[in-house]
Amino acid sequence: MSILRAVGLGVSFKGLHALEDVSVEVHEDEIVGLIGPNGAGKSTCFNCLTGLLDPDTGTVLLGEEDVTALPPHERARLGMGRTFQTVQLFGGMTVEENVLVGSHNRVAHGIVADGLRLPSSRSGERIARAEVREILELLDLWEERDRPARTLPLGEQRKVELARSLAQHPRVLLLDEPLAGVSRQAKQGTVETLRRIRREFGVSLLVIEHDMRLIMAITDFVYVLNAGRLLAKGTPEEVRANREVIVAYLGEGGEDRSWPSAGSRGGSRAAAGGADPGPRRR
Amino acid sequence: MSAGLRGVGTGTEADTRGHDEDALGMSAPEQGREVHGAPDAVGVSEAALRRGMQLVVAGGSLAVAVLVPFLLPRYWTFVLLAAVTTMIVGLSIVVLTGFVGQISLCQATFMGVGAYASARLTGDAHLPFLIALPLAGLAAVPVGLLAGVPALRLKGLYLAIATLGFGAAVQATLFSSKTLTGGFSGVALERPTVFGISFASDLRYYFLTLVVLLLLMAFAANVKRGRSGRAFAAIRDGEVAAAASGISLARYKLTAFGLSAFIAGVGGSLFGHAMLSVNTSSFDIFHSITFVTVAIIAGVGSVGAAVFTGLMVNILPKALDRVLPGNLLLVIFSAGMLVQLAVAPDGIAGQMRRQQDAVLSWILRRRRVSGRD
Amino acid sequence: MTSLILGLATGSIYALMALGVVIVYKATGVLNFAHGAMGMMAAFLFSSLTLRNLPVGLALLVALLFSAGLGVAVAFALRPLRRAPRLTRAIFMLGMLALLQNLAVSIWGPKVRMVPSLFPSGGLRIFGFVLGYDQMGIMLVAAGLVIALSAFFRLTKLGVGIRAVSSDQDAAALQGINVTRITIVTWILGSVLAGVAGIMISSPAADIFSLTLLVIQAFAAALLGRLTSLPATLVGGLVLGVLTTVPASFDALRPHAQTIPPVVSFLLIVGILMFRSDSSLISRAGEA
Repeated sequence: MSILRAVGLGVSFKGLHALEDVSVEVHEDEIVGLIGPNGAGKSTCFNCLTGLLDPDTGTVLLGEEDVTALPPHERARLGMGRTFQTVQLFGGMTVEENVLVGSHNRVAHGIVADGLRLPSSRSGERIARAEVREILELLDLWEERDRPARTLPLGEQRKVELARSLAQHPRVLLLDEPLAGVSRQAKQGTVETLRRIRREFGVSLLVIEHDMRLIMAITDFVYVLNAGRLLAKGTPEEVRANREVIVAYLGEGGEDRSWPSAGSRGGSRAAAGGADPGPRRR
Repeated sequence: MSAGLRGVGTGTEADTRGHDEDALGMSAPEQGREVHGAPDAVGVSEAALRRGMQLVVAGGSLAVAVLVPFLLPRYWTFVLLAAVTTMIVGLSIVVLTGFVGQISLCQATFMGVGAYASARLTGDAHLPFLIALPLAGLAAVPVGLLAGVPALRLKGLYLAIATLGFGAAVQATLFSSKTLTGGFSGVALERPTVFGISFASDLRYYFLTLVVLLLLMAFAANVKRGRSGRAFAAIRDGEVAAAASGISLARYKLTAFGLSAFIAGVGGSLFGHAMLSVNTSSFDIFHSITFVTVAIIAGVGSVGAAVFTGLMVNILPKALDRVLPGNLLLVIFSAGMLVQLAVAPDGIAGQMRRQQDAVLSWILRRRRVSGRD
Repeated sequence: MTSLILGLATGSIYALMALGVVIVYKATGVLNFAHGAMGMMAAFLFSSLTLRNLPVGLALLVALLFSAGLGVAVAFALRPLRRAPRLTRAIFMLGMLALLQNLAVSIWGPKVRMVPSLFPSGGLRIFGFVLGYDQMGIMLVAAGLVIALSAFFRLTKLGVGIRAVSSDQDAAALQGINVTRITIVTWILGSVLAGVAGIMISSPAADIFSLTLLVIQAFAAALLGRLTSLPATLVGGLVLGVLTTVPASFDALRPHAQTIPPVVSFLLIVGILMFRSDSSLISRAGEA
């Protein structure tokens, strides 16, 4: 069953095609990867999917519903969650409060109820906090719940952002480079966390990532973008072996130790010391 | 252990400070103001200590507020009650600018709507004061929503200009209209009578306004701690992430403007009944500007900060009255404000909170030193 | 037709004020809320001096020197905040507005003052309507100043420096341009423009509050020029002047003449700001 589908997305800024006829699809319980060189249009694609950007052409469907005309908060309410490339936490709030924001639409009491501390407000708060507690415990954040979110190291901050999006109980979660800036030690932890999320929450994931090991290790299906167009799609193995994709990333005859070669075992332990493809592109 | 305590300066805080300043260059005030810390040997955690301190400060302030009219000469009572109405307006600014980060330069406009509405409701319509007061606040709400519409597309500086223009436009049209508001001659109001008790005397009216202030502050504090307050703070700290989390920016921004207008409207009504007459110049843009600049100096990070706005607008000038004549004092005052803004962007309340933190950490250090580790 | 001329004359003044706002904003990023108040101070000083029987020309010179000094003072007052976000500095200027206003009231009292005109009274009769010398004078002065400004920006080292700082402050600094000096000069320019406009508009009678509030019209005109283009600002000021004066000539609106300028300005401000081309959530996320 299709959870999220984009059909024929097209966006141009001042004559430049940021996206041209891009279609992606995420099925239930799937983890889908979205890869491509820098500037390929991956974040633009995300922005169209989540509603931060209005595409010139194309439609976005969440489940059965056409959400193309809906603003971001409506799509969130209908089950689309998202994390950002640079972590967007709410600086003035604690970890728990940040995640509670994610649970905003899980309860419905209004501002007057809050102000007057009506029963609906108190029970709503209880429910929200209980749900959030579960998520925090699952992600090992419960101990840190009262710390100001901005005082955590980056890896933990990403977990908080993840927790916040999970608090929405989304059907699909869009993760924008969840491993960016994360230390090598923490990366494996993040991979584990994502696997656990899929298991425990039954949520589908669409992941933008430069780290090919993550893509190989965790995705069921991969889309490759290049210069705004869909270059290839298929299972991770198919994509990895695709000549055009390799050329797009590495140039003709290029060798990149981080690109998992066909001979590497399992694909998740790539060449020794492999850096992300990302930095070399700059 | 003291990772979250401000003022004690941990390395991580300094690193991240730059990323978290909002449009005013202030660090976002901590929403819950709770500090993580394991209980020490006596079983009292830092969080509890901090809460204890807050209670002491709040209780002390309340005691002062109740006692002070009896300790000062008679003529001070009027100043005090004027200060309380200012504090209510200050609270409206805390709600809008502190909670949600929206800047509004037309709070006096909302006050005016409340005052004129109250005059009509108690005067022509002969409604009892207890009913007229909230209605006056409600009358200001549509005006607030109108003023809030630009906030859906504008932020910071541009929103400030738009609200300034709004205030000027309303002042020039509605508030100057002879038919609607009595124009330059204004309208007259009376001190209210509630449940047969007359509040004509300054002293009684002072306590009436104090009660209203406390009720509004309690409401605001509850909002801040709850779901809507978190939505507000999310919008303030990161609109995009807030929207991605399912919060409707339009709805909450407008709600904030509406709530702020309501509070300011109530303040305006109380102000009107205090002054016994108001006219166009009572609610002009200059008042709005004064309120907002003082509020920012005083700090908008917490509900309690509203108190400082009243102190600075009404009480301080009066207290220094002997030393410096009227307007000259305001000049120096404004200059002082500007210095304060340059020195401490999170306002006096922020400074106070840092003092509090410093005291708190001193207490904790003493306890540890005395062997309670 | 008479109202059209009046509109153009008023518009010239709005344009001068707006130019001052835009010049300062472009070079320093500070939106000067106290612009009207600064002009007001010059106008009141001018008025006081003439009341002490100083010749008009000399009084004008002194008042403009004062404006220059005021500009320098403001530039220095802003130095501690030079890295602060735009909004904070604008709030600072709001405080400055309050300060100047209270200063004016404490020096001169709140009542309206008589201000002599810079121009001879009377006017020319052309095609059946009267063109006042003062109106002509205002427009000529405005035109002259605009021409002088263009020459200044194009031909003098300082002027070019201001343009450089306006487009990229860091690059200008790297080129060896003394940004502090440029900032001070810019504020002097802005303040003097405010002073000229304030003096011209306040004859025959000057009122502290309405002069201070002129800043709203200045903002509206500046926004018509998108806060960046000086020629567009000039046109914007003229357009605003006409838009606020001509409707008042219609009988139906005459009694409401006073209300028109602020309302029109506000509507323009909001209209322009709200309907700018790129207002998507993403681009706004970066704005302070």
